[in-house]
Amino acid sequence: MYSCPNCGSGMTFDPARQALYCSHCGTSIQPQDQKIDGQTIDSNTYQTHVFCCPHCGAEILSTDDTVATFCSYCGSSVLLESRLEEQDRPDYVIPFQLTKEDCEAAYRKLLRRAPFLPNEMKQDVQIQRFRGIYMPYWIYSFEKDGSYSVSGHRSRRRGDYVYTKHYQLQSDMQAQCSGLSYDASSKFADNLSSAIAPFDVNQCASFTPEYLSGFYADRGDVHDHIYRSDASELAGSFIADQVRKDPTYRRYNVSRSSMAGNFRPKRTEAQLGMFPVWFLGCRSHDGQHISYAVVNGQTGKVAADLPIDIRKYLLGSLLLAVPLFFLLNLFLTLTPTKALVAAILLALVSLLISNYQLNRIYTRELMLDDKGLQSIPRPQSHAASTNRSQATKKSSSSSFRSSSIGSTLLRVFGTMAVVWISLPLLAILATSGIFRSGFSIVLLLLLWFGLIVYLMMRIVKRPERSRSKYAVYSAPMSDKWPFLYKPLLAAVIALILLIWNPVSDLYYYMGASISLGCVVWSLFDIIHEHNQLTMRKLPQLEQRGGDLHA
Amino acid sequence: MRDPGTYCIVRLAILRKMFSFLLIALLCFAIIPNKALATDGEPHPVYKNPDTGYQVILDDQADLLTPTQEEMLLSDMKPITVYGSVAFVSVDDNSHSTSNFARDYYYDQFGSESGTIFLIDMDNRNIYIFSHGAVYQTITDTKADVITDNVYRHASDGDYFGCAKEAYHQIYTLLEGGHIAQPMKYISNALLALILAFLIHFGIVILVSGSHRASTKSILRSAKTSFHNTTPNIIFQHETSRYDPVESSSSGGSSGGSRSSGGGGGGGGGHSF
Repeated sequence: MYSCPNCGSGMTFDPARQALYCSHCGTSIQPQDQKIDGQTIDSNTYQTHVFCCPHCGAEILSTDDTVATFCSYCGSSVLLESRLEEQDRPDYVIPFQLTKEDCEAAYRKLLRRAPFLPNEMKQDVQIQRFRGIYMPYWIYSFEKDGSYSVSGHRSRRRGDYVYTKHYQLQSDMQAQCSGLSYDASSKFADNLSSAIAPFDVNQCASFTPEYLSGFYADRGDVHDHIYRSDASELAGSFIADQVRKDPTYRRYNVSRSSMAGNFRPKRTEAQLGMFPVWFLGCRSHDGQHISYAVVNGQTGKVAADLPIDIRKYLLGSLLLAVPLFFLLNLFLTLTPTKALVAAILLALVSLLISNYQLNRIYTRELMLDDKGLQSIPRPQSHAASTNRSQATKKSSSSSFRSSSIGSTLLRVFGTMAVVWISLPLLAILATSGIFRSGFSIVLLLLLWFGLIVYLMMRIVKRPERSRSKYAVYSAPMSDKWPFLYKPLLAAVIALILLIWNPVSDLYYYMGASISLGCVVWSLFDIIHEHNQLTMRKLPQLEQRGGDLHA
Repeated sequence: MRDPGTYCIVRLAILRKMFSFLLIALLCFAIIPNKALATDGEPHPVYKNPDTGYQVILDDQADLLTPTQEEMLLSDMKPITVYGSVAFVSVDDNSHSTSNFARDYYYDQFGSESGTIFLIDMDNRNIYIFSHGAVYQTITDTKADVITDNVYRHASDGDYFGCAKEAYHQIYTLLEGGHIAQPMKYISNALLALILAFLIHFGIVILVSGSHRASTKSILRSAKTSFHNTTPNIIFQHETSRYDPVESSSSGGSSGGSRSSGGGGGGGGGHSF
């Protein structure tokens, strides 16, 4: 706690004034001017109180010895245990620009757009628990200079021949890219930190502990090499883009592939900075799950886990269905066949969404979407570690498969076979009378086209870059089947009826109703899956079990 | 024994007879109506509206109606002639699809004038309504589907008269600006609207959640960047050539367009029974 030189009361950092402020006598002092007992500017460490949550084991730091009465990470209302410790001094700090009121206003703005949220997340008492935390971030700087060479070409036509002259373009460059930041705390989920990025590093100040006064800080536990390759790739792409923008290089058609690997930065530096984040943990009514909301303390950008209250969601959907019903009546008369085609389409949409959500849950549970968390050795169940290694193996083997020529040829011929087999089938279906109207035939063609596009996309090798940080891994079918069979069943029922083509409309409408019922059933699964993604298990940071992904 | 001159004359007479027979056979073949239309003789209008000139045709080739039923059906068809010609057709032998038969029959009988026909195809077990012109503005494909959906049960039960009578009644109701029952339309649309609402609402949830990672562009914009590049030294390496003949502009000529079936402005809908 920093004492006011005027009256001796405690001073805290005031974001509105960008200074240490004494609320008792109104004195304000620039943090850099403040001299604190026992702390020297040149020291590599600084002294803080470490508050530890007895429930989840999370630790937060503060320069104040004021008692902390709740844990932001697990949301429990307990007195946090405190001890005094020496911490490594970070290099930079971005001071809080947004006051707590600004942060609450930004969050409330988001809440107004989300009427489907559970009530407990909207309560004032809950919102007031936003806590200003300085999150540790690695700030990477890259430099590249010296000569480089890329290949280019220019073509011209003469008669029936195209003549291409090939060139080497050599030049010297000096490039610098600094301020690429990645969060260095395993407790801060990558999906949340990347959602409130970026921070403007131009407003960085040299770190002094006075900035922490009145706020908390998280302890960095992720090594700087974890995100180095991501940052280096980003800097490399910046340099490549700059080169490509040069008119001379454009004239000589220098392609991105010819520059690949040419602009990987030479010198890299990582420095630790403390960036301002308003942080809120909100427990669910069953007390078993927690949702996080974070606000960028510099820019006001908000990211939050927004779970769905199923009753509110149903009510909202019903209200939306009323105008939709009148709108559909204006132009759509569903004949039995069209009703079945619509059921198939909706079942496919539901299948795709559900599949994507399940893959995301799988990726989240195995922490494959959080490099920082992955890098921390923690005790975990054998099943989880086995799954994780399997997922990684699967990923590497799939990339190997995609690069193998034999496999690619197999896919090409497979796609061609599907096209050749499906074309006559399509012609039979289109002329059989099942699809009497042009509308149904167009839908059928779209489905067929979608299938072919999907197969062709599987042929094309995906860039490895997309797998690096934000990739969504495919969950095993055994895990997904209990959810995916519902939309599949809906599509199969509708398809069987379309092929059977019974005389009585009763069968059609019964089939369409059952099929659409299955779609509704799977939509409930989708809501459940969304809530699984947004309501995390309580963190058990120092203990076995629970969700480490806080 | 005949002399060669007489022999030649006899052969010439035989050839003439054969040629005449062939000619008559060809003429007969040309005169007999096309089997595709399956009409055993030209159907005649049984009624012509003196004000509008539109006519009624009753062509019960499958013999589904009794003379009394035909009389009763005629009285139901007559009011429709205010808007266009109207026909009842039944067939028990049809090598084409029901919709094609109905279309061809319509244009053969009514040409391009406004009207509608109701066809019972016993061969394909289908009923079909085809309309054209002003009548088609009201009895659209969708309405034809709805009407056939509403009346197909009569045909399934063998009540062809009831089926046709109800169909003409509903056609007339619509032409008069009235409404016909479409219970399944509302039930289907309600269910569809509900599911679409679920999906759209979920889309809104995903949009509002807004936890989308920052773009590369915005990250680089907030970073400190600088770039200086000297003018490149361009070194020639080698030259390659590729044969790529220039396409002649006259080579893409089309061999003619598709022939119109004459059915523009018409359409219909049907139902199996």
